[in-house]
Amino acid sequence: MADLYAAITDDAVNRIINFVHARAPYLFNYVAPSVRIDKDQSGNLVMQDLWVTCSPVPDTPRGIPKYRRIPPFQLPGIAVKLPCSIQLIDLTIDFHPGDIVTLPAQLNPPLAAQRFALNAMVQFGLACVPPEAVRLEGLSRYGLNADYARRLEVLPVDSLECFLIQIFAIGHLFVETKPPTPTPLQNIRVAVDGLEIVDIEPKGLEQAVECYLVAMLKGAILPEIVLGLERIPVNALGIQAVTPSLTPGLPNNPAVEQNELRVWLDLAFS
Amino acid sequence: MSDVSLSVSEAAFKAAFNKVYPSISLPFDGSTSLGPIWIGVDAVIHIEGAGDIDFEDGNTFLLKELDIGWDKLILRLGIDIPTVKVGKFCVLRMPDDAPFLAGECLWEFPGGEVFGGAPDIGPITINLNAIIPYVVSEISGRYKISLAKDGAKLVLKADVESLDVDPISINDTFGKLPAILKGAIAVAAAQYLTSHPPAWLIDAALGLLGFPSVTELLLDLLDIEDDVEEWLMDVLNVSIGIDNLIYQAILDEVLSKAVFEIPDPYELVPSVTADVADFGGFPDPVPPGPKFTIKPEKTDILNPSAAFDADTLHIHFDLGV
Repeated sequence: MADLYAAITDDAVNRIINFVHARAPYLFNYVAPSVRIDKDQSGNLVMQDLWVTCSPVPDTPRGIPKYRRIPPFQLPGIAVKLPCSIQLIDLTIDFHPGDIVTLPAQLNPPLAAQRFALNAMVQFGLACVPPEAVRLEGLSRYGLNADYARRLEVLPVDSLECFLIQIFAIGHLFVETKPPTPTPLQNIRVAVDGLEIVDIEPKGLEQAVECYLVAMLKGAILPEIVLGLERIPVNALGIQAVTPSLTPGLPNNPAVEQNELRVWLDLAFS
Repeated sequence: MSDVSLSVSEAAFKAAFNKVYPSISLPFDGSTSLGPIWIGVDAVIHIEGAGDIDFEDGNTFLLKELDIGWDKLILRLGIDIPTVKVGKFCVLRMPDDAPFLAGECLWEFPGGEVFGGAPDIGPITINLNAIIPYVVSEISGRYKISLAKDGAKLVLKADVESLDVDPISINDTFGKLPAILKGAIAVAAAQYLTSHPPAWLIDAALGLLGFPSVTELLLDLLDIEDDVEEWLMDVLNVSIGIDNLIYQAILDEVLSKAVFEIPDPYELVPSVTADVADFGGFPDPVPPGPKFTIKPEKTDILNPSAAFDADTLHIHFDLGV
């Protein structure tokens, strides 16, 4: 028998996502800002960040930013980098059995046992480059001479070309055990089993984007994600000086079942 | 279905209980007067932990054995020896056939009182720490759990519903107790004699009372016979009511602590310190930088509940999101 069992429903997880979306929008809005070019009192040109997005982000309380900075987009052959934005507009999670997210046929519904489904609406925005701005000299249209143009890190725009994509994904949790130092380190990680982007034409483009996204998820994003499912329940109860570990010998631990994410832990008190 | 469910096994609950409740020291004292005898106790105990815990259905658990340790046990005695009036008597009388002053009393003791103090002896401090290893305390109780808001926490407390403190027993297998007790009384008697001359008058009073020494008199007044352990247990358990003193000390301690503390409001996004330059869209004023701290995002805990069934404590709550 486990010392401690913890479970959270997918409904609660989705309400937390919506709550955090409103209260901490910088976690959902990633922007490579453009620049606003002004003149100071001495008549010198000054550049300030201009945070351009596709969808407006509601005002935040004092001290809370709306956006997280990402690097501007660089295209070959274009002299200046491009502002862009990635906004996670909506995110819904569904723990098995699938009764919140309606999976597309490509992901072979219904959701398999011990799997979770994810539905995300992501809005991308890219700056359009005027043909004359491809070369530095063309940047004079923004009132910049060649010297300033060379110092320009990003294209000055006040709007982006925007498009929405809807992403469905299914995945599962797995435990990665690392060698003992002094006890085995158990990392609970997320694996993607399938990903589908809705209605991008032509199909080859959709497949290429999906392939790229899966590669990015598996190669760069997911390896960085370790779920703190061992520590969270212990902290929730305020238990001090204890080392939690996943209870061995269970068919699925952690488990994604009956609309809950569940974990069973053994506790070693020190 | 609640948003969050937590279940804790009996073993984990006991371990958490034993993490929280052991205390550094729980001092207590008490005293009583038994006729001419005043007895006081001055003690310190600490809670070592729960020996065994049994969950019951509902919101109570049975703590079958609460282990306590003794850090200090001091007995104090005050003795008010009944005043002895010694009447006039002739210490030195001339013989009746003496040629002069025949039969006259040459030196008459004028009479007086002995043991007129209040108390006459004491307080005698008897350090019983040497017998602490032989003091056996058996404590059990039924505790009721409750979840209650306490500042920025939701605390699960174990309130005492009933606590049974058995009379303590002393199994002094090495026989230290008689020597300690009788030795302390003998020392007290000797000190009394030193500070209350004349000795012959006390001897006279003792003669009237029928005791060979002050020590014997004190032992008799205290009613200490051969079984010193039995006497001490009777004093502590019956006269002082040490079980009630222990009960109160433990009760106060238990009420002051919580087994579990759930942060409420509950933190969903931790506080982050980062470079201002990595963020944008600040409402005025923009933090001066270069670093700034984003406050954590929290939500209230709603509808909390805690109950036992069989071998498990179930805690449920919703999140106010």
